[in-house]
Amino acid sequence: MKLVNLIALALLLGISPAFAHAFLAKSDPPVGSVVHGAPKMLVLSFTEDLEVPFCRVAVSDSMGMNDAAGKPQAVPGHPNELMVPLNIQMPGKVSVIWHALSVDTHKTQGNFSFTVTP
Amino acid sequence: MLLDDAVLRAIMRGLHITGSFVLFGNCVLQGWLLPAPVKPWVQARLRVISQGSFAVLFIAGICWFVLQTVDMSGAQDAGDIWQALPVVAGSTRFGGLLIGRLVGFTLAALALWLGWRRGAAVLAGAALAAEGWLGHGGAMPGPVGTLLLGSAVLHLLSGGVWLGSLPGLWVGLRGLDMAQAAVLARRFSPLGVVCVIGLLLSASVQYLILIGSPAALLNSGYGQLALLKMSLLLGLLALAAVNRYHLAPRLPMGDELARRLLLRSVVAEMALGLLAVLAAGQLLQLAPPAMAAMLGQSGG
Repeated sequence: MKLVNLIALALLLGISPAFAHAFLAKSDPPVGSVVHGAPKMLVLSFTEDLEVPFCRVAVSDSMGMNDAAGKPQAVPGHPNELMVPLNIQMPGKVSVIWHALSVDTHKTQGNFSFTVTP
Repeated sequence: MLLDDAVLRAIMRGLHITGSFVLFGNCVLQGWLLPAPVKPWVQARLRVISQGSFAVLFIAGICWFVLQTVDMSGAQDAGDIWQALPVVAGSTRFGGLLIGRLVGFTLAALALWLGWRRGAAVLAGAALAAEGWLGHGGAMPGPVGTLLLGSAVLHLLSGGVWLGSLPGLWVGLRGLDMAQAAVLARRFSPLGVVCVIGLLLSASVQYLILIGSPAALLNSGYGQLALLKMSLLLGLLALAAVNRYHLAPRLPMGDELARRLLLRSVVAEMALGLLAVLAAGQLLQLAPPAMAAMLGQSGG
């Protein structure tokens, strides 16, 4: 009856309904943050493991210029993370639009921004 | 298009799981439950069930693979799909696992053909259990993901043994001598109880983690479909209880009426079981209520 014990443990620990799709858990640079100097890399962490070849991330500045210097790449040892090389030309607001595909084949999407100061 | 892509994918997934259940259940039935010697009439029909279930799981699996590739890659035409297929096959968990599972089922069918019934059951069971890694639990990290994955594997194996062995059980009850049919029913009964416990436990875990509240069960599409699946399970339980406590005990006394009623009851169980598995195929495509409201959110 180990499973019964596990269920009881789950109840005791107050497990809430889970995120069974890939949602953005955190970002580096963080969502809505102000960073000094242009970061070279954007790292996105999700609530589920990802199918990286089918994830897309668009990064653009306030003029709509592309700030991504390449496609999203897997982060070794972190199957729930994506990294995107950046080439930010000018300070200001940077917009990020992401489309994620989790390993259970579900699609999610979202967007956020952060600000770069000189 | 006549059917929405997502509905078509769900149907193919449901048919693939149905075929997987029946091949696995048929292997279990032949490996552990069927009393020897088996009449040629029964043997021939069990072979047809094995071959038919393998064909269904394989063809539906291939269709699911192609449809999922189209969805994952956003392919617009045949050329796009052709380019995306090797990427999905070689670089995604979905592709690798689905192809690996099809290989596992092929080996199981081959083992059954060679007469290695219990080996075939182990191979088919492993391939069926691996389906769990294509669900929510397989994608979620941490203890909650592990708990959900464990419940999915338990759910698949319990459903596979119980529902998957029903066609073979029907053939055995229909074609065996009354004494052998009584033995078959007696052996199936405790296994059915174990499967019911497994299904109820795993369904409870999934309810707790993916749905979370009675309100979500009633107010979301996912919850309503889960409710339908639970209702079908209750119907299956009622039939199983009648079979176990009312009809099966009358077989050793040579009661032909009980055998006929038992055969009808097993047919009804198969119909309810098929609906439940097809509902599960659709359920696996939907966002559980816990996160449905977050779809389209603006970041984290």
